[in-house]
Amino acid sequence: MAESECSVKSNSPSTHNHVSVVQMIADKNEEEDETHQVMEPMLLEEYKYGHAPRSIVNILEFFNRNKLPSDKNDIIVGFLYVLMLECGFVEMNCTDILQDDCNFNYKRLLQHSKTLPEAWKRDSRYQLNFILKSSPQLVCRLTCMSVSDDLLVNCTIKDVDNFSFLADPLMYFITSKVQFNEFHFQNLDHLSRSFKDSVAFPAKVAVIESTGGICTCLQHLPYEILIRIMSYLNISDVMNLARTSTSLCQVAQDSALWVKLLASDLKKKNIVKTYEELKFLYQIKYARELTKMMN
Amino acid sequence: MPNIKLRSSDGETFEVDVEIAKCSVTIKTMLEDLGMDEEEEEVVPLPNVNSAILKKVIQWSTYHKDDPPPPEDDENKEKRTDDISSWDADFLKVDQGTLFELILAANYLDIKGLLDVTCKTVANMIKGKAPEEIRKTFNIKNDFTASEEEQVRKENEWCEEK
Repeated sequence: MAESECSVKSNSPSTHNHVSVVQMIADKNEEEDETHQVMEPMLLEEYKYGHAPRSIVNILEFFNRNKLPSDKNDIIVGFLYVLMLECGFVEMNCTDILQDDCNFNYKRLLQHSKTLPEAWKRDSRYQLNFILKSSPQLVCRLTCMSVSDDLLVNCTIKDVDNFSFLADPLMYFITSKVQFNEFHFQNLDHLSRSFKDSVAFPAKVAVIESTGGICTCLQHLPYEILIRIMSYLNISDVMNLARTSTSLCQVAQDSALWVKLLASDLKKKNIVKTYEELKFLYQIKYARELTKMMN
Repeated sequence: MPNIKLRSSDGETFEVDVEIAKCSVTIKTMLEDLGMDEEEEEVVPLPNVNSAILKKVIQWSTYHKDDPPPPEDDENKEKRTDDISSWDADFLKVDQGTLFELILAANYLDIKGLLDVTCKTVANMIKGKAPEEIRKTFNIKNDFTASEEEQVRKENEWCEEK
């Protein structure tokens, strides 16, 4: 089958006889106001009935213009595209050179959510290629396909890593009407959280780490914050965390942390010693407590 | 109440009550040092916080604006993580990327209450998990050599059974 027949072009002309609820929401939101109201939804996760963030309105308008979609999977894929944008990814062939960082950028989100990349859908398979502007050589290929009632999402970064995610589209729709402009959504916060946690965020971390960058993930949090987090843990959790990687193992040897652990767990105050001494001290105290408990 | 405008790293502007903005010690100090609170149209640039995170920080600060100041860190105090209010727990039902960005923003803006509750949330995600489960939860790459791993395991086995 020829690909061109089935591929959906993103630039087809808009039709006027297709004004919908979506259009009306869009008009309402169009009022340009320099300053944001805090209650105004920005992210997909903030979607509430009658309160759609601008990015969702954009995507639905895109479908509307192109007399799409044919099924719910199309809309979910459109939403996944928005979620990737929210995480700082852009489409591979995107040409804006102004914003070269990979942080959340609201204007870029609004701009790019207006059209899905060309050839995003072929037959019932979807393929979207993303990059982070900071490392354009690493392409994240997002493929989605229907597997019985679910949508199987795969994200592959060549020679680096691979992440997958299974979505149940029905979970996110309220009506089951075929007319797409009557769709209303629910649980989009769940879609956002689970997709970002299992695909978008790990992919971003993988790309940034493989190019030697520093990203916002647990092991790269500032030292004093890691100490703060660890000071909420008990001794066995600190030890388990120390066993996950060399950098966290290093942090877990901080003497101030061990002073805190001693103070809060074993009620021993005002000792400042080296890590080795402190750990030894803890070990002795710990053994004593154990014996006490046994007797 | 006078308002103040905050501008995020991606150039979005939010108008908030000065009292809410002052939940951030960083902003409070900035306003006091620069005597900015007399000015009507002052915009405070926050180049380290993007608009999605800034919005969340403002939401959190708005809800918590009447809270008593959080107690100083006390090393001898019991380190509880089960005292997160249900509003905060719901507010922090976010993806990991957002949670870590909130931690960095709370740290930069010096909002102790938010820093405490976000760090506690991460601690709760670590608690009770074996090393492999922690790696899986946070996508941590195991970069120990086999012998190093064995050594760390041995060093720490004294507290393993509990």
